[in-house]
Amino acid sequence: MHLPAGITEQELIQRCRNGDLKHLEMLYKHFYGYAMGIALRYSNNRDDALEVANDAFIKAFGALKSYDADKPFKAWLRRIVVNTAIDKQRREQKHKSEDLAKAEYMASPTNIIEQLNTNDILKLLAGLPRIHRTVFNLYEIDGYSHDEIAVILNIPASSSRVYLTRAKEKLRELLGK
Amino acid sequence: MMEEDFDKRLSNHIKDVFDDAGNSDVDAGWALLREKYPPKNDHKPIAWFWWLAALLFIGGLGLGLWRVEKTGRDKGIKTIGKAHNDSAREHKLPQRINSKPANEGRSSAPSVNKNIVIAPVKKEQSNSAVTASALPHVQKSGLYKSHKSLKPVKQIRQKTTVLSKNENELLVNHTTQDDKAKAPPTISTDSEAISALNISALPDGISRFLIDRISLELRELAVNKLKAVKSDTSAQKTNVPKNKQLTWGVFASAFYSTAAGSDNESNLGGGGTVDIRLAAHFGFSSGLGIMRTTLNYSIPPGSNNYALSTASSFPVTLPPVLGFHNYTAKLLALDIPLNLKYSFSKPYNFISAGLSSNVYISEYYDQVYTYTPASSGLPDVHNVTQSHFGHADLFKTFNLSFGIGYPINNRSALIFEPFFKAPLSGLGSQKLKYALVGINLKLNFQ
Repeated sequence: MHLPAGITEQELIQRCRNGDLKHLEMLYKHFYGYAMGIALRYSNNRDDALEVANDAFIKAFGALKSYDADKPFKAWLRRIVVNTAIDKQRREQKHKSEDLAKAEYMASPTNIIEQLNTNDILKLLAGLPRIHRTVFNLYEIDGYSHDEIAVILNIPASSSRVYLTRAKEKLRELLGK
Repeated sequence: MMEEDFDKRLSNHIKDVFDDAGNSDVDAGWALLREKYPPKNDHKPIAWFWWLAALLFIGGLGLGLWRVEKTGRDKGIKTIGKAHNDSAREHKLPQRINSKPANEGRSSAPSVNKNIVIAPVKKEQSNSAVTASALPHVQKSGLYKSHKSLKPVKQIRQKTTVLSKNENELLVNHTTQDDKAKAPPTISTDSEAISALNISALPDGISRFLIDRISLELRELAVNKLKAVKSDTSAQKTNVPKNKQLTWGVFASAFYSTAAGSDNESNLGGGGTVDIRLAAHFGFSSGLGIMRTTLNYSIPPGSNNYALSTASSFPVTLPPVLGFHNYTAKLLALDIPLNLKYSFSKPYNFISAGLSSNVYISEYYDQVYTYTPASSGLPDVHNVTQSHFGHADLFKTFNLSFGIGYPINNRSALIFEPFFKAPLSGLGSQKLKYALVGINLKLNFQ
């Protein structure tokens, strides 16, 4: 969603700091797709992702005053969404180590990658054990290093590498590669 | 190599797909968020309560000020009237003073026409006494105050009894209160007063006996009069606060907030009070205070069983687990007490009990979750909830206090008031049960 004419992202954030609901709504709608994109990758379904995204926005609204305007807002928001998603996973304490056989995704021809839509990818990711999926998301999509992942998940960096390798192997397997 | 290329393509495609999940359901998302943010509160009853409390307070304040002003005005009128009368009487003064030498000159029988001084008085005191007793109206008018040998005198002089030649009254002299402390009150009879009794016509022994007898009775009479004057004056003094229906006060309080699981936190407050006397000892007390209350519920690091049990449930490894660590509440509230007050016979000492209502100006709650194990180095997660004028508790706090007062003057007193406030149910939007124990330092005035 584009911002209204005559207002920049920084100006919008500045106005949101006063708690003005109208501007908070603008901010929410402007970054909704971005936040949902992150939340979806860490969630089991769209409802869970929406809950994660909204919780992250609420945290962000509350912490706007401490946001450093010199840094990119997207990176700041991304961090909040990722943390919120991981927190939610921990709270739920659901560790679904689903078998690959349970994955609904059916293998496709080699060039299928470019044809995968959001739902296909979500099904594909849902076929991974949660810890593998989280490491894959953190490393491959969100750009965290293994050392950072090791800190976030409190696992050895070597374990992070192993989980990533296994995640990739399973994805290839699911995609029939 | 092919596998790496495949992985790269897959990752890039996922990034592209999820870079923006689209805004198809953004409105639904916003509607869902609005259910949680900002926290919904029914502001209407609170607003009404707030306005009602403010109206009562302002009304009471206005009434009190009006009464104080009226009392002051009435007193001013009385004082002016007295001063006017006294100044009119002042013109008669020279006649009385001038009549004295003539009396002295007329005294021909020394056995009768002598001044009887029962108590020994120094010459200077005696002079003062004569002047004071002879000129009670001058004392009242304030002219007397300018006399360099005398200090200002108040109401005690108004009760001076004079025995004059024509009126057969007792002449009782009072010096200033300081002088009185130094010397007992003197009673003198004017020689003309004795001569007016025609005692001189009697034999010398009888006349002496009569004079002694009369002087003794006069002395007793004077002492009784003095006692009456004293008790009257002290009654006036003690009646000053009793006659007042409204008492105002300002206070500053220091207190501890305490709750199960919370540390005892020291806090401060302040405000104003109004006391309305309903009966001799009973009254009604209200006011408006502002209080800052802090509560801090802590769980020592390592005692987080929830986090540990959660951590142990991970099958593969032990990733850091979030667990509750600390909970802080900072409340800024208006306190509106409605108390019944029992005043003891000693002024300004009282015991008071009742209920309080609170309107929360600001509520700040911070739940802190920490990662376990602590070696993970992950930052704490804060779940902060804030609201302004978002909640009110009606009559949910029980008040108990007692006051010990020290009068500063007739119109004001300093009161130390230890107090205890206990919750009757959960207070604030998060229903915390906490008690307050502290002391008010109060300045009461009428």
